Amino acid sequence: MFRSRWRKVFRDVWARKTRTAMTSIAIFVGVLGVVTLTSSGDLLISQLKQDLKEEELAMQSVFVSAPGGAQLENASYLEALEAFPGVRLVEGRAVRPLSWKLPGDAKFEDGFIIAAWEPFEQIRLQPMHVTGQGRYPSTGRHEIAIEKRMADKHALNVGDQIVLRVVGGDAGEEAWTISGIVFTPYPSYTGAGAFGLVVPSDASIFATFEDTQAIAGFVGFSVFYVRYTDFPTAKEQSDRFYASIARDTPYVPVFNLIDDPAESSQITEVGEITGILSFLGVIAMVVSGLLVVNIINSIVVEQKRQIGVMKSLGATRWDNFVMYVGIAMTYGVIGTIPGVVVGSYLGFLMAQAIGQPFGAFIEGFSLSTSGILIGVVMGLAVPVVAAIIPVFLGTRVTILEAMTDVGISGNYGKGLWARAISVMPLPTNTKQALSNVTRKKRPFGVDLADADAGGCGIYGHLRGVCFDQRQDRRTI
Amino acid sequence: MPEPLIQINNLVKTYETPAGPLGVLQGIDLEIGRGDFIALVGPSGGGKTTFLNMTTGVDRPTSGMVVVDGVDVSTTSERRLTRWRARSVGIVFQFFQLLPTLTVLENVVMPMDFAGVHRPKDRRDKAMELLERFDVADQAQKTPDLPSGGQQQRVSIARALANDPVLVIGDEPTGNLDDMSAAVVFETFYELQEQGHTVIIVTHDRHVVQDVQTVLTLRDGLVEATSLEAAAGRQTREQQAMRTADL
Repeated sequence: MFRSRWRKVFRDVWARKTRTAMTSIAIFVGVLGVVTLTSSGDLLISQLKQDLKEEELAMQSVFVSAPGGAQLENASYLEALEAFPGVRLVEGRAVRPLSWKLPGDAKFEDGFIIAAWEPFEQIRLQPMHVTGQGRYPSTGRHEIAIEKRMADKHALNVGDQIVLRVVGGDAGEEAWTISGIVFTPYPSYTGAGAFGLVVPSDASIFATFEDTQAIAGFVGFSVFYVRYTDFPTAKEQSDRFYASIARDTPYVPVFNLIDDPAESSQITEVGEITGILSFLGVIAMVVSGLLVVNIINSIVVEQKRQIGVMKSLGATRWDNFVMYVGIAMTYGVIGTIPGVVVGSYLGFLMAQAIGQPFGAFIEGFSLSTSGILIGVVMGLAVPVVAAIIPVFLGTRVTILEAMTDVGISGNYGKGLWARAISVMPLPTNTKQALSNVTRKKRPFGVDLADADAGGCGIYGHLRGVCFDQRQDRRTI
Repeated sequence: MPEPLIQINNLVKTYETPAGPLGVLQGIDLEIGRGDFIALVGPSGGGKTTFLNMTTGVDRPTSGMVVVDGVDVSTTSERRLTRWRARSVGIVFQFFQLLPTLTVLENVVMPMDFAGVHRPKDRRDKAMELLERFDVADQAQKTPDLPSGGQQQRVSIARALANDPVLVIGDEPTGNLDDMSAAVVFETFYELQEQGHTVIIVTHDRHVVQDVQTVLTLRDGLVEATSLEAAAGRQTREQQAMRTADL
């Protein structure tokens, strides 16, 4: 029984190559969208979860400005703040704008220099890590480290020199040597503006606190990272801690962020955005599913007589059901395989491309298992599910109905639409076209739904873009 | 006396039409023995195809009973009828109705697959035997659109015999063939009868029914005549009437 059923499935699929190609391409596009968008989101979140360690995340970040000319006792401030009830650790970080250029270049580029009060090796909150190339810079040796994405962008290596425009001390241009390439998954904020600006990773330069003071000429921290004993304590104490900075130090708090390390806002935001993208991918899949409904519907109608013949030869309704759902599934397989392969690769490329703003750096090709699984399941399930109703209805035909079918029902021409069309002052061929549309209401309805879903997809995409832009504005 | 293969008692079939009820079969009583060869003739609309549909369980009677090989096809469920039809009835259609995307050989294998007869690995051999028997083995690997009309109909007969049914039904099996092909196809039906199959054929061609054992004339839903001579006479009168009308 298996043999003839599947033989007919494959022969039918092969016999109508154009139809097979068109349907499979529709499924391919849907699967491609689902796999690409789901994979990129999954790869980003996996990378972020791997990079962002819960125990390293600050629960509160207080962005501050230091009054000019103030004498700062940073060590004692940090010690005092660490003694605040519920606080386990406080670290100070300075982020300052910096102009730099490659030796020989005429024009300086904008960048940021980042420094921590603690020595690099002892940073515990939102640290950077040497990637394996070089080491952290040492004070007084004209050494800096650069972010990996900056190194990649400008093809810089350990031992190379870049020219910095020094603001403090002996102002002028100085060549500094890259001692190491570092990677930092945690975003840094400049502290400028109302809510701070995210420091671009491909323009991040690191130096020791003392060297940074000499380069950028700053007087103090731009942010305090605070870790409490637990997050409920952080929520409870954060306002008082914020006030204590203003009260007990010369720093002026500008704004602060509270973040639950267990539910990192960075991961949550990426999850939300990629979730919206994945939803758009699913819409693309649903649209292709609606196309499958129409195609299978037309196949079943076209092969009504064959269904009757097969029933007369002993085929059960189940045999026919399997054959025609099998055709849909075969279309699904043909569209899904390349969709998954291409989608996986595009997903990786997309994750790499959009990873930087989210602080995710994806190195080396990797596949998203969940992206592939979702693509395979949707690529196979959507056509099959889409085919069920047309096949169920189509295979219900009796042998007699199938063998005597002339394409119209007994009440043809008696409906409201038919009567309305018949009295319209239109050419016969136009009337016939209208009659065909109104007679086959189900395909017409599916087409409308298809167009609606496509429109919704575009609308949803635009909404998604707007949402992304709002996200960007919120970050800024 | 051996039990007949087909027993029909007071078979009535009425269709509801916009113009009112249309009685197509109006109380037929008939017995057809095993190994009989029956030709159904009569004017269009006389109920021939409806009679075949009742006999094969394709359609249900309005009243009356049809028992074929011990199975009451007028009341049996569709599911059981499908299984019964697969094994017990072979149908030959006027327009062959071979599945266009399968090869000739695969068309013959298909009923075996549906009915689950023979071991799967033997089915192709069995199908080839049938094609050889009907002299179309050389067409086995072709799609059905390539052989001639007569060859296609012989393939169709081979397919009908795939599960070695007791009853072979032909609904105008020569209606789409030239005289020579029709004669060859009818020869095949005679051979089937000789091999013990019960054969019922609907035809309009009185030449091909000359050697048929029994000819039933259906007119206005009733069996009117049961001999070749009567049928031939009826048809001759019909043809004369038509010619007169043409004039």
